[in-house]
Amino acid sequence: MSRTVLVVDDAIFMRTMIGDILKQAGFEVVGEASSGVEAVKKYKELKPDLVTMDIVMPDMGGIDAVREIIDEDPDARILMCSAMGQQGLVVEAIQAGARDFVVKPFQPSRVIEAVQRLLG
Amino acid sequence: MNQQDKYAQLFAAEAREHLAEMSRALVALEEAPGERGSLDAIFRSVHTIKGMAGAMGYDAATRLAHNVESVLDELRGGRREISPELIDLLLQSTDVLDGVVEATVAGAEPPDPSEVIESLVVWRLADARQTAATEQEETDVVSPPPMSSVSPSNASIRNAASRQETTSST
Repeated sequence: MSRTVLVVDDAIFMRTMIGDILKQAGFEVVGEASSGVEAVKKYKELKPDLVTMDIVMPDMGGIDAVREIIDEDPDARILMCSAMGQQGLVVEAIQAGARDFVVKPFQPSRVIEAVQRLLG
Repeated sequence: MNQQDKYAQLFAAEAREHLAEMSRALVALEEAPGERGSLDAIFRSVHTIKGMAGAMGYDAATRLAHNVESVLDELRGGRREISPELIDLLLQSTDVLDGVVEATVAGAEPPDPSEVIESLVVWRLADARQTAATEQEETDVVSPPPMSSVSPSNASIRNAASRQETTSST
């Protein structure tokens, strides 16, 4: 059975691109969210194996969403999708419980490697 | 439709939405400079455009969006204040970004955004000049420095601006 992923990003463009990368590598994208609030809600509903999480979003950013998801499920596997120059925020996200990060613009192979590593 | 065309269409639609949002929020910010929501909205929009343009390999749009984002970072971090001149510069940057995006999605050579990028970098570096001048004044009280150690000239700021622009585009 393929592993399930929730893709979180406020840009449809990014959700589509990340979703395509994951689907092509055999993962099942079970849901998408465009804000931190929606991400927390969908995580509870869908219980995906992995979440890809943007940082800058309206209605609760990615770091607060990581905190809430980890509160709900300390074993949640969350991969941060950050931009260049956001090192400080990435550290904050990892301290909040995110497992790893990729930096945009990312290479598809880098995303797949990170996802595979997190899913063991 | 191949995958690249699909992404290009998504980019065009979403970038246009965010450019409209930037213009709207800049006008709101001009009317109420203390309004944090407007500042955050402009930041999110230009950040999203930067991310999408970077993923598409659209260099001119990425560079300009990155430099606008850096200016907004200064404001969000409380290190600098909004002025009418800065609002004008941000509106001008949004117009140039709009032109760059439209040319890029039309498959044309985008206009060179270097001039407005330089203005954005000069604005950021002006703070360093002010800080240096303030520190210098404090030093002056103790021992007057030689003329050569006074705050940097506009020419040196512009030189630094072109170096910064090169760095930020990598």
